Amino acid sequence: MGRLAAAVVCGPALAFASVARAGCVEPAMTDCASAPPGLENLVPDLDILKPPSSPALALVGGVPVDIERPTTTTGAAASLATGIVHGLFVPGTTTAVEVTPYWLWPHPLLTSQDVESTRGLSFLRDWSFSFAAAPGPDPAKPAVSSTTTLGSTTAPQMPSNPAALMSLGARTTIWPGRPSPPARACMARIQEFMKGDVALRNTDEAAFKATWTKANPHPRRVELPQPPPDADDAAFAKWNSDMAAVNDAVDKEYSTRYTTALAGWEKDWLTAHGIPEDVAACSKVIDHRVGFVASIAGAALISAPGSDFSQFHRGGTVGGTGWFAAGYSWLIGTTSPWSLSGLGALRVRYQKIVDTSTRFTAADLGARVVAAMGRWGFSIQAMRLSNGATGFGTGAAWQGGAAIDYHLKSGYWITATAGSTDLSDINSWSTLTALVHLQYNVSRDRVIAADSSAVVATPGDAP
Amino acid sequence: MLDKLPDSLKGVVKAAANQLVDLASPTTSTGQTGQGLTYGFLLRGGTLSVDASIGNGHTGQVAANVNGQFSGPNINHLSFDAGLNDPLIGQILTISADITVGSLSPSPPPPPRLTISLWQMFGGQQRFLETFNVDGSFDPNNLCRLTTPILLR
Repeated sequence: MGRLAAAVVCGPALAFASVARAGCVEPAMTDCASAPPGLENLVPDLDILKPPSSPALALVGGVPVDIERPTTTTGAAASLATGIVHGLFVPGTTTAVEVTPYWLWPHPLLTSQDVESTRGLSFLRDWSFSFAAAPGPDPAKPAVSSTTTLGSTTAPQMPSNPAALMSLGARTTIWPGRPSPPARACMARIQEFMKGDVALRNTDEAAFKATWTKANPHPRRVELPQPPPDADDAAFAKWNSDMAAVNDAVDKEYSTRYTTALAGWEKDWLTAHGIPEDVAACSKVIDHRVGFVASIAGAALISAPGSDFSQFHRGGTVGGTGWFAAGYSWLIGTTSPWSLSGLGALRVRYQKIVDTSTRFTAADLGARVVAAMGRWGFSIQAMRLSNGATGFGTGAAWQGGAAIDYHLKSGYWITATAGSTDLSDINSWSTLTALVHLQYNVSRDRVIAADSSAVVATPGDAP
Repeated sequence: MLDKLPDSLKGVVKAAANQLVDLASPTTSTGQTGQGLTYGFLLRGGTLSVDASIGNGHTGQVAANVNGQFSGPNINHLSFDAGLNDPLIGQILTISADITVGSLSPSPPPPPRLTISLWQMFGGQQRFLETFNVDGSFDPNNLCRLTTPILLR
């Protein structure tokens, strides 16, 4: 049985190729028509199968803004230790740590050109570990289903049976693609700007320094009385030490005065010499890449019933999820370029209740093709979701959909989405959804150029 | 050979104080300098060579001035002559840098770091003097613009 589910126009909305998924559920959005319960699970969204930026956090279901990212070895060790201790002994605490080992140490000689010439090492450079702990629904117990229905489909509700969840994950880039021609052109433009900016600031600063030092000449060297020629070595050593100390103090005071004056001058100078609009726009494009891209991630999860890890062997679970995504992007043409991309994604899930034979294995896969030119974007996708992935009972589902985007202005799109979900084990053969959105989205996932004549890049479907 | 020069030709290169490179630039968070005295030969003759490395996968431009001399903009190398009658001792070497993220960086990218190494070129020989690290942070346009003074003494 097919049915038209909804048509809404509202703020951050659902779209299968976007990251905005909040829906109209916030109090401030009450003027928007709320999506029917569970509708989001009927909208195909391949992004759920792509490797998440923090695999551990994805498994426990935390909020991404809470991720702690230490940048030193000491900080990483302390954060991980604290997080694990909190996760084990203070259930209910939400902790998320992400550590990228390669970047815990500085690489002063590693330029961007070096990085590009050794793309094979991105596997090592992008490798990150993540840890997360949070309270959440007990994976060993089924979610409580409500009597609320959407037609003949039972909609999922917030599960009860709270548990303590703890996860450890890893993620890396297998192959990063290569900078697109617009990205290279933008990098050249930024280099040109930086060269002129630095040269001008250097010249102006020298003029400021000349004026300042003329008005504030460096103090003469302080000369302390020298010991008599027949004094012992200790006396001369003390004299040297005292001379160094008193002159260091003079230098420090002079430097502090100059630093203060220079800081004020620099603040005014930077305010008066802002970043040109085309350079600012270019800074959003330099990450655009084309060619083959692939990434992989995995995470293990343990849960304790009743948020008590001492009860782990009485209904706790162990499990894991693996993600893999690969794709290829093309940029065709120069004056009005077309961006084409294809992406495939695979997610494998495993879970087991400890000390029992109850286990669960599932694989979800999908593919998406995106084409874009100017303000228009078109995409089609298909997904095969195994049991449990849709939130609609235990059945598997096929999902397919198509979307058309039109870029209104920077960050705003209007999106039309149509899709079909085949819930084979529920008393509905298929559900047809059609949505129209006015969408605000800061994601780079869609292939739409920003409002700037300098920006011609169309970020593709990179995983 | 350098060690045989009389003391009167020796100067001292030193970062004056931590706060000297910790400028209140909107894009400069903290600055760290090397500590202690480093003896150089900058009073008369020779060349002060400055290697400014913009690492951590980023890229940028640097320029510097001291005692009326300019060098750069360049990606990583600057040099200044210490004339027989125009010594650099007591002068302020000021390094300006613009840094932007490389086209490929982890997410989020590591912070920009300018590593400044001072070398003494004299009589065909090169001698390391001191290294300083200056950390900055990117603004919303992925740019870090900083200015760092170093007192030569």
